[in-house]
Amino acid sequence: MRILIIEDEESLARNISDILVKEGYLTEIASDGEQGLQKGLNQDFNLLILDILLPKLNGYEVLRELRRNKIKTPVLILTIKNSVDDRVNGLDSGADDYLIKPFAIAELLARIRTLLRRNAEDKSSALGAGELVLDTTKREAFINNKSLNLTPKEYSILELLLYNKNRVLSRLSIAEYVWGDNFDLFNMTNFVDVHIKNIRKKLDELSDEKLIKTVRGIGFMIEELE
Amino acid sequence: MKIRTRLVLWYFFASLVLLLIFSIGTYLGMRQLLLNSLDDELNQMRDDISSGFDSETNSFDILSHPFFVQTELSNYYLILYDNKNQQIFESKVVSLTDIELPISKADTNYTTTAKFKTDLSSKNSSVRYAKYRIAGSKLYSKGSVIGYVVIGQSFEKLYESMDNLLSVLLISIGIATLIILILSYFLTERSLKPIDRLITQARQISRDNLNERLDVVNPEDEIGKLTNVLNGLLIRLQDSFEKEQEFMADAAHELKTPLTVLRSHWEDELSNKDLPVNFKEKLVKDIEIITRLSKLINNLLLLSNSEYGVLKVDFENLDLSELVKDVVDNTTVLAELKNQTINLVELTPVFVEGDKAKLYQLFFNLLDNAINYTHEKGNINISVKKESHLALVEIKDNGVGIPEKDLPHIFRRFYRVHKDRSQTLGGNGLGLAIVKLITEIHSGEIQVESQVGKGTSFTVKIPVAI
Repeated sequence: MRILIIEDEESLARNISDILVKEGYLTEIASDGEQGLQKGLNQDFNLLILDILLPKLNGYEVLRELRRNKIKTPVLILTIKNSVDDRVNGLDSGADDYLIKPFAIAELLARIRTLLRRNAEDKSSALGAGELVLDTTKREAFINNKSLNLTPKEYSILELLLYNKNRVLSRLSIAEYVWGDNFDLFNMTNFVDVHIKNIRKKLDELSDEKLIKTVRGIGFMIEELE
Repeated sequence: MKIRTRLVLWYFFASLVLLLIFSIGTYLGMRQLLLNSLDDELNQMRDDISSGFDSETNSFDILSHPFFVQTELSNYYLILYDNKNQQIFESKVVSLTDIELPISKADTNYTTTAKFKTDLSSKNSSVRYAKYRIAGSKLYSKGSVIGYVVIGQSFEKLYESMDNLLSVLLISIGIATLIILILSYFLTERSLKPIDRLITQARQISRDNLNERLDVVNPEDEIGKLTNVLNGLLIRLQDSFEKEQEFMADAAHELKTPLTVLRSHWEDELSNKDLPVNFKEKLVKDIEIITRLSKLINNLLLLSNSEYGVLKVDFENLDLSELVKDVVDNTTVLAELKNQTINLVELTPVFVEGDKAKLYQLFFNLLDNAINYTHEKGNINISVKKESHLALVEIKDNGVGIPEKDLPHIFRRFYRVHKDRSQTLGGNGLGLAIVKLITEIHSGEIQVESQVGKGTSFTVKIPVAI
């Protein structure tokens, strides 16, 4: 899986790249719009991460040019602004998803995986861990073909944890993913614990695996040993 | 004094002065004209008399002429002398008056005041005075003097005419004054109308429609020039508004980019097994602070955008009760953490024109506030009602309440009632400012009632959709 990161803030681009490499992706960085467009046109990528405010060509222009040249690679837009107009503008230009800065890494990875899974090649790799399997289209979780009967919020939490296997997720990141940024997330963090408790109860009914680990003082994670 | 009134008065007085000068001129000119015609008449009579001299009989035939015996003649002062200075005729008036003919004034016309011994027409013997115009003249025939005549007429007729003229003039002045007053009023109205239009138009331009310009009707006239100057001012104002707003957007961008970098760094390190747990705990706190900061930046940008009238809103017709229910559903989790109960007392469907995301934020902020400032096991009552043309949403808690002295200030930015507690509750002091802003965007209003120790009640009123 090759991912092109078009981002002019060097340390952010590096950081995203490092994280993605650790997750097993191959990455390429372009530091301005022109460079990004050239790389996007001349090389094959599975995904593009595209900043909007870029030197030389802005993100919308790059995207439009790529789509005009029949490059159908999924594009995830990173944007500072969060007005309705920007989102509409981004999706109209042919973006597949957008993420507002500053974002949580967990969310970035979840979005990347969702986008990649939409592509045919990736559909084989089911989302799951141990005996747990997630049906991402029906948004349901199964153990040994038995449904866990999760609430939508519980499902979201489990999905995020599975998209970020072996990565510790803070309560804040989880709350952000589940409730969006319209909320006072600092209150929601307590509620994450309540939901995790409920998910664990449902998991325990069907399996002896202790999938979700609590990392003291930090958050939660699903570990999968290779 | 208004320009309107001043102009009317100026027009009025200027016209009045002109009218008076004209009238006085007319009066004096007329008087001279009448005097001249009086003299002409006297001279004409004198000539008539001398032409009636018969040199053969050496007498004035004219005396037998009916002209002399006609009654109107009795109004003339007439003395006729022959060439030997013998008086041969005098009219009735002569005997009644004391006019004396100064010989030195022979062959001249002059004005004299005559004293009547008795009245001409009545037996009344009272003395009266009358001005007479007298013409004295030698009479010639074929080069030799044939006599001497004094002929005069009372000014009475002239005065009568002058009096008539005066009254005509005065009435005219009166009518003209009235017309001038009305005309100058309409003239002023007419010339000030473009200014009134300008005022109305300019008044309608606020920070929300700074891109609008005033209509220039005629760019060549003074009003057109003024309008152009004002439009220039508007352009500069809009420009500086836009620059300010651009600056805010840039500042937000510049602040958020490093926050994004920081956050991605810290979050990645959370999974680093080489770092001690207590260090990672600090990282989690830092990430919280970073998130708090970026939310603060968002809120500041929202408030500043509204300040510069560039806030983007996305109005749609929506059921407020559905929206409030949605907020409550999502917030109940917070209340449960404090064992509080949220009661939906009344939920009447009511449609308003609103921006869904912003209204959501409004009611979330209010409910969040209620939860934060209510004790464990407290109650929060919510009702959505319709009262005539208003949608009413009331959020009432039995929490700590707000002191009366703080009530007028709670919607101010960064104002904190509980200065010691707010930070731990995670607020940034903008929540209620944003609540007020969003209410205003929806042409609504917000009311608050509170009693310390008993609770607080917020009521949001938004006009229902038509």
